[in-house]
Amino acid sequence: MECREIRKRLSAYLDGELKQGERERVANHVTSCSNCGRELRALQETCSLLKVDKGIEPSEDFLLQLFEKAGSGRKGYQSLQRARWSFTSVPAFMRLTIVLLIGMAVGVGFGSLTSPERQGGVALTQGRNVAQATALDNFQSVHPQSLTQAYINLTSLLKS
Amino acid sequence: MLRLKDGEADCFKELVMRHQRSVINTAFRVTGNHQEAEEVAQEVFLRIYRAAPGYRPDAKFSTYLYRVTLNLSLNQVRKARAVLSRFFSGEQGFNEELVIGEVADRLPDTPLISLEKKEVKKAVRKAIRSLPKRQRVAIILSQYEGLSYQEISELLHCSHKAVERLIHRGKIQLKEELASYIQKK
Repeated sequence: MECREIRKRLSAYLDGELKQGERERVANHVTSCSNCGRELRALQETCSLLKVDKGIEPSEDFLLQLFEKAGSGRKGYQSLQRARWSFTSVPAFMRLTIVLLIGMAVGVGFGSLTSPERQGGVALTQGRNVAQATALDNFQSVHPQSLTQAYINLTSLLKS
Repeated sequence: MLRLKDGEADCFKELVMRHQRSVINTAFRVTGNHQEAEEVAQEVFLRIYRAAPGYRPDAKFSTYLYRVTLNLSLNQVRKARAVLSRFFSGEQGFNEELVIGEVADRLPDTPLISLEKKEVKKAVRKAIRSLPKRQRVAIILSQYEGLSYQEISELLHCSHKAVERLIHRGKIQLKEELASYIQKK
């Protein structure tokens, strides 16, 4: 009677699905019972044979066909290929270089927006408007480092 | 899957790459046909892609993936059986599974695979295909996909004990089918 019960549990025993107490009971029984021991070995051999079949590999165009069916087509597949590139896939020193270049570009761009020449240019425009309004452009204050001031200095120099 | 739900389309490819082999092979072992298995696998991923916006992580993603794969694979088997039955109904001793298997088992000539191993592989696949449906699925999931009995019971909507019985009976039948190869060893 016990052999019949034990044999029912042999697959679960081989698959590691039994609780500790049950596992020990089966292990002790198969050690002492030659018939059950033989049955266990046969099941083990069967499981080993199953492992001979390693399965199949996906075909080369599996992904392409999948994306075509998804309606994205080749473009969608390629855009997904491109999207796979990420900043973290770039080597560290290149990442640093890219960051520095971007920083410099931002800095130059920002600097040109806030440069004295630009400010002077703005002041010049404003000054012109005021001068036109008041005809007092000789008294309009300009930034000492602006192009306007530079021109005034140059003309003064030439006059002198 | 949650990233896909949030609209990160590039992670769909990642998801496919991670699971394609498992899905294709599960489908292959159920249907017995390579081409059908890939068609089933593509349908599995398409359904997941379309369902992504409404995806709720109620259970493990793998459970969801296997459920879809098994449903579509078993549907494919039913379709193939129906087609063959229409053509060959009435023929004595006709077994659809074996016919499907004979077509599927034209293994490619690969020098790396020895003739004996090829023969064993063919026999194993045939033996698995000869199992009743639920035993076949239980064996595939436990022996090839490494799922626990608990996970299989959730997929098959049955008890842990029922899964144990399915797997044990499946292994007994496989042992008998493959007896000559076991003796050779």
